[in-house]
Amino acid sequence: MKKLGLLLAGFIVGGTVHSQNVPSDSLRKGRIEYYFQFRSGALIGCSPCSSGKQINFSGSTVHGIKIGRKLRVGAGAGLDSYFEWNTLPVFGNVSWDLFGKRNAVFVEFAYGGALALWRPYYREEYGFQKSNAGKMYSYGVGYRIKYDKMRISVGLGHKTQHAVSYYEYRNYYWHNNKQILGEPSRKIVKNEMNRLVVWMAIGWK
Amino acid sequence: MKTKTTARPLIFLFIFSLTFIGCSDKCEETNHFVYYEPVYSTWAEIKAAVAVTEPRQLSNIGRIYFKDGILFINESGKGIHIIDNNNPSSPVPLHFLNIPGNYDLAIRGQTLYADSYVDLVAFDISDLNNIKEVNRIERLFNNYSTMGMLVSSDRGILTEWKKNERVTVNEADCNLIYQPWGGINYQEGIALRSDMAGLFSVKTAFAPASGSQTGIGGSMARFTINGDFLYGLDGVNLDIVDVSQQTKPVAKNEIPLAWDVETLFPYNDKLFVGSQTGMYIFDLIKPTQPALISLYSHVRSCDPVVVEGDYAYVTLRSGSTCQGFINQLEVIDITNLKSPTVVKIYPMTNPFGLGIDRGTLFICDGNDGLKVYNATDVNAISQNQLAHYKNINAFDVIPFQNVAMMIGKDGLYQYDYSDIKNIKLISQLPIVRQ
Repeated sequence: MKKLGLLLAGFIVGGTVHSQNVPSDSLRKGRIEYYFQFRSGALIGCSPCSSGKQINFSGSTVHGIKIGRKLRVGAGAGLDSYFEWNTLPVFGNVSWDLFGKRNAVFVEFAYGGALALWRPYYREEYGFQKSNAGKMYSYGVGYRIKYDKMRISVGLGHKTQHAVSYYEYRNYYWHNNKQILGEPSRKIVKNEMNRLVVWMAIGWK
Repeated sequence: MKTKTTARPLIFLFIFSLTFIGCSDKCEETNHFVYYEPVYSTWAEIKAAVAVTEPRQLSNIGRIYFKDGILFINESGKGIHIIDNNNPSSPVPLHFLNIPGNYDLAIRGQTLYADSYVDLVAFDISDLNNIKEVNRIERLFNNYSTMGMLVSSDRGILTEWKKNERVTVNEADCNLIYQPWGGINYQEGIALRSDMAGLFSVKTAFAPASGSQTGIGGSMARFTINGDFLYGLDGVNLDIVDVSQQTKPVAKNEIPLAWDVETLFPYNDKLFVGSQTGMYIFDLIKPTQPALISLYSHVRSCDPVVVEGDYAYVTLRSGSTCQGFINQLEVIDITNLKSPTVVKIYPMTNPFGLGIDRGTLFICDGNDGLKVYNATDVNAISQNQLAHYKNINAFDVIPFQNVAMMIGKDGLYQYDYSDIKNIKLISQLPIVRQ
């Protein structure tokens, strides 16, 4: 069992070294390679729009595999900041190179949800009970520049994040000379946050 | 190369289209709004509902009152159970006096006075098999049953609340929907005010009125009779009614006391008023013009009070309506009525009503049961516990002539304390839970 583990580790390390020595333009169609990137950018939008645009931070990292020359499939996690909320999204990411060999123009799509949701600052709200983060999806185009094993990308897209907040308001009434807590009124607020995303990324492969 | 040619226009189209896609928040607000709509009964309906009916099982007990071997147990908002208690080991329910909106009672001679929403109603009880309404002071109380609701006189009396629900879904400005709302309901001129909560605690004070013609009130007394006058708490006010002619009560005066008054306890020519923040002592030399002698302040809590000899016994209780955070018995020296001073404090669990009879102190300590002490040495009450009845809920007690009549969530319990070293449970009437 131990020998099998060492053999497997050697295979992986050897394979990695081998792949680093192979020029990228010699990659064959259907070859699978690991890639990753760190992305930082801005979420541009407004809420309310009467007070003007707001620009907030967005950052993420994506790790995945290249399948052939054009397709990349990965998974990522990040931090997004909106006007009302901060989120920790986790998502799946798919991109497809449209054209270009060394440097490429690509489209991408991401879909996922947020692990956590919190307010960037305290805001007292009567009756607030809890908030849940909902689904997140984004799409966009990018341009990737190749420099040896490094990749530098810039892109533009659109991101949507859902959040749900729950409120409860107590009702009292009087009966038989006692104050009775009646059934509470409830409010559910579904918030869909839409943002223009401008980003830049640096990565491997 | 063909791909490149096809894709380029699409890329530019995509980037161009981004400028038209909304980049703002959208909010959808779903409100499940529950509100309670007032239901009115007409004055005629309320008056017509007053009647003597067959005895029924105890339920939702409020105040208790004892006179001449008869126990009168109020069922909150409904009326009065009349129980023959001449043999405490075998109490016999006689009748139920149906009185809508009744929360308190007091008896002088052969006349029972009871509130019915805003009215004070007098009943002739000289013949318990033929109880008759003999008089009524209409609209005596402004804050009927301290329910904190106004009377819409053109519609009658607000007698219950009907639950209504409404669900709305709408898109809203995300920045506006976070504004506070909800809870407090205003309908048809009726306001439910949460800040009135302090007025609605369970009233606990044992109030044996002076004068041989009166009975003994339970520790929830908001009504009491002293001499020829009935005193009744009406929200923040004290109403004074002349009952010298028993069947012809006459409203005499109404004086403001404090927002948090709860209980009345007459002792000699003094009136002790328990409030959530202290104990007021009034002089009743001029019965229609009670004069404040002093105020003994304590932390905020529910505060019934009883008096015997030179000491007042006050239990302080925490709870949702009582607020506060302490549960204790305070013994207060009232030798100098102008300057009452605390003598000793004893920790309790969650004390409600209490009563004292010739040095034997009974404390209803909520779910910790009934505790009985020899209180002749006020500095050593806790060391002189005579009995502790656990596993019952104790709410209020009248100790009188060696029988302690105690009510709790489970019913009426009666204890024989003729031998204080051997206090015995002699009967129980169960309560029907609703």
